[in-house]
Amino acid sequence: MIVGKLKDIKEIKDSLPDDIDSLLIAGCGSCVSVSLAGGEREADSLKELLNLYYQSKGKSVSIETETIKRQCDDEFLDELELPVARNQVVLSIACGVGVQHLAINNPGKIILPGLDTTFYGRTSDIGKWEEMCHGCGKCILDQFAGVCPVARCSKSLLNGPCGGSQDGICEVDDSIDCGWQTIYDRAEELGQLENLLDFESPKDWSTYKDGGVRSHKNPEFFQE
Amino acid sequence: MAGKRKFELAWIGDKEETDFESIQISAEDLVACQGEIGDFKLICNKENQPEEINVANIIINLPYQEEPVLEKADSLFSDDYDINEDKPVIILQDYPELSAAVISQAGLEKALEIKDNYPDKEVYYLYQAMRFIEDNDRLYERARESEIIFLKFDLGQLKIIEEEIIHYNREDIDLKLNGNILAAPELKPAKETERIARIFNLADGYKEYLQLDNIYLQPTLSGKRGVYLLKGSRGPTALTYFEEELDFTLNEVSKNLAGVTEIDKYDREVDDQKCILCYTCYRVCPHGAIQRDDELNSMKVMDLACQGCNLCLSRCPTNAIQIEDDYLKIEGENEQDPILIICENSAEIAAEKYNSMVGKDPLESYQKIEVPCVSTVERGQIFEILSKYSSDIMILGCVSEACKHLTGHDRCQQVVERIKEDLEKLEIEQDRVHYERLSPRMAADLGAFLADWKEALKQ
Amino acid sequence: MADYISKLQKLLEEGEFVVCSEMGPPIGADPDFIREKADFLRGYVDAVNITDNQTAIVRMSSIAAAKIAADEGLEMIIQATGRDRNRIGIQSDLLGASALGLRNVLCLTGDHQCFGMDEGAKNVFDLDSVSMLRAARRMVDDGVLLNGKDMDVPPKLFLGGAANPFADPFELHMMKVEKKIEAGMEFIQTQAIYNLEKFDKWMEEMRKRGLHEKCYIMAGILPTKSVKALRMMKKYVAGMDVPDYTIERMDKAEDKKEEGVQMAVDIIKHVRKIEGVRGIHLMPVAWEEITPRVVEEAGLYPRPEVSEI
Repeated sequence: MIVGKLKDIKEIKDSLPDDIDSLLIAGCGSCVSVSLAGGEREADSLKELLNLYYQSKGKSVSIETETIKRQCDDEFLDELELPVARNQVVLSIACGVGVQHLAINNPGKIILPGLDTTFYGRTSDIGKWEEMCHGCGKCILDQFAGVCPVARCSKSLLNGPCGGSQDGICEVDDSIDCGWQTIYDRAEELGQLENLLDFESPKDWSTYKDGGVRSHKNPEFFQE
Repeated sequence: MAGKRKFELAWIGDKEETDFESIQISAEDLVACQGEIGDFKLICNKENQPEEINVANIIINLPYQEEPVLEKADSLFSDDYDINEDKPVIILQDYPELSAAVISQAGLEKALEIKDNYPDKEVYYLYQAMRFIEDNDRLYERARESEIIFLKFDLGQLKIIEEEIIHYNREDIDLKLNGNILAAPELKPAKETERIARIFNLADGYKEYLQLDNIYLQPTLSGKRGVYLLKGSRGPTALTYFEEELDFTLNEVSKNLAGVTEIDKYDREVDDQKCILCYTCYRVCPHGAIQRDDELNSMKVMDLACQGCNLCLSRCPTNAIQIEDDYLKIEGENEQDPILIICENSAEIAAEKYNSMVGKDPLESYQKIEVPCVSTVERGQIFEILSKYSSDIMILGCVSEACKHLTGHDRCQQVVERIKEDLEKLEIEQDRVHYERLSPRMAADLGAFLADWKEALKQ
Repeated sequence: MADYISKLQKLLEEGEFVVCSEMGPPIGADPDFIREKADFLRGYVDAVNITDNQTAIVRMSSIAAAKIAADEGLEMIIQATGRDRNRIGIQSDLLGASALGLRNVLCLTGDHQCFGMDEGAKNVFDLDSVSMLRAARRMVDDGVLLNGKDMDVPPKLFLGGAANPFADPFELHMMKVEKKIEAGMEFIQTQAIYNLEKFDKWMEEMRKRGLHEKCYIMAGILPTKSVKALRMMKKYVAGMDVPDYTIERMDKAEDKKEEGVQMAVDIIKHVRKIEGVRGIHLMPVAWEEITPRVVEEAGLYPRPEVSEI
């Protein structure tokens, strides 16, 4: 799923206009709720904190929250229509997709992001998420014992670890597991070590962002 | 049609003889555990055939793993050990760390067994501390009479040379012992322990055993109601009082079979329209009281397993869990009074004790929020109080190892730290939020401490 | 007479025990900085590496600096990393290097930018060291670019790579060395050696797999002059193995500089005896002026004359 992290409160505060009189905090009930950053609970906490802040500045700002199922699909946005209309500014704590979808549907409205979209990842522990996929557009997991070298090697190396990999730890940070050690361990378990000797040609990145802004459609839903 | 058979008790791991209608399940076969006390459903995988077993109570009784402390030594627990004609026998206890008390007994018995079989053999007994449980003192007496040589050591006074020779140096004794060593092995949790912890949603405790060091989990309770821990699943000391612990546990099982009641009168309902199955409640619940409701495709709180801490409510990202009780209500007469958020298992009890000791309620002239556990404190709630009231907030949690909900104090501390961080970033006064830890016994401290705080607030 | 691509290649093929060293270009545009360094190395080493924004710190480009030094009469080895350029940039630079007469290239993946002062930089890593070697090999041998396009005049390059004998897991890193050789690597410069037992073990494995006959191995030597430097390397440099006895030896020494030289000489004498080690690669960080002394003390001076190729 898409993982997100609430922005630093100072950054949020600074992004709000000085002359603000009303604010809608729009939560999203899907991925970012699961990553405990953009759901109803966070929207409510944020509201209370900003209330406290404006009160301490002697300003009167009305703040309301509304959390919908998904901000990235039109139909759910109906529930936001009135709240968006009656507030001067919208702070969306959906992922970057949701923020923009909300903006596309509300021209003329200031829609601000309240969350940093971090990566596609899995929940690895309570309150902890790990990056697993870059969305490169061409999955190669079959060749690497099910461990993605693009997402899980800090340099996205396709032909083996760099010299900085030591005792299974990445040179970038002690908290990062070397992706190639993980590939190696799983390949060994599966009896696929030989595969790792195969030369990997430079990847065709045209299916990634390097090929331009991406979109695709399912032909079943389109008539000539 | 007869209903599915239900067992009164399931043994995960080793089985002991009891009068209960019980079943033994190997840890390797167990895949999942659903349900709650009185009505657990254990999913097993026997040769890839799924099998569902209904049980009312569960005892996890995994063996210890014995890890030899010296490669070339025999185990003190083994009946198969070498005796060399010319060399002495050395019994080694408490190396490198202190052994469980029961090891003293095993060691003494072994030493005597050798001395009985080989009366001329020199037997050395090396130990850091002799523990006198049961009839150890009698065994020790006999051992001395049969001329077993006891050598007490502290760390650093014993060196193992080439794994065969022990160099003993204490005060004016300097000995090099070369003989057949029988060493007490180091005890470790069973192989399957980690998997079992996951299946039952139990926290890893000391040295990865399944029981946390917590006064509410004595002696064999787990965090999950109806699930008990014995021997190698409980901890390194569980061997010593095994019989007593077994008795206690079986007694608990009997009581459970006679009927169990819910912790409080409140239902904790999950709104299936709001629940997104993120499993946050399941993961944070210290009592394994939450499971997925397949029919509604949402999570559900199991009423008998629930211990009422409300942590699930406060951590649900979608506010999907509801309770009729307004447990965050502020009680007090004067809105200017400082606000106390108090844990009902520690500060609340301490306050009552203080009251009966001194005849004065230390909590009067405060506004109070009494919570089942301070872990339920939320950021939003504190911000709201700070903006509505002008007074300070003091949260009184419990001390580590005495939290009825296992980690409530730590969770609250994390929340308070984040609150302070956010306030600092917005340059809002952060000294208005305080957090202290108390045990229910600290009645006098509570009184003194609150008096001091109030004095400080006045200034 | 055999046709050689570079002087370095010629020396190695003729069986000479080769001495390479390393030079970091300036953070600035001063060509005299390079010329001065070239001056004291001339005659003491057979070839000099020019690093490519080493540890992700912006410096004068490796090719430009190498050209300046080559004009001073030194045989140069340019370093090329995949961190800052994609396949288009790297191939273009390799063509340029060859055209300028810079014929030796060390293909590296490159340190992550987090080591430098531009942590916020966007990295590339379009080609890793193996695919860079393979691409260069095809350019040189077949006259073909990665995209399949033929060239009228292909580049002439002698291709090298790095290896870390101390990285774990041993087998995985060994596989990578094999892959590099398979891809077209002709010489190896190893990570700096302090742990001789581990290096011996690595060489033994290289011989077992016959890899020492498939490429020239140059042992990395890093003379140091302080305990602090050794400790820093042990702690902070990824993939470095500095045993405690090395640190102890330096700690006990009264004259640290002298001890640094002696330690380097001892390591050189040890590796020189190992079957399959065909030279050394000296990389005194911030102590480049010591190179001539080390070479002399190790009995590797004077260096052989190489006729133009």
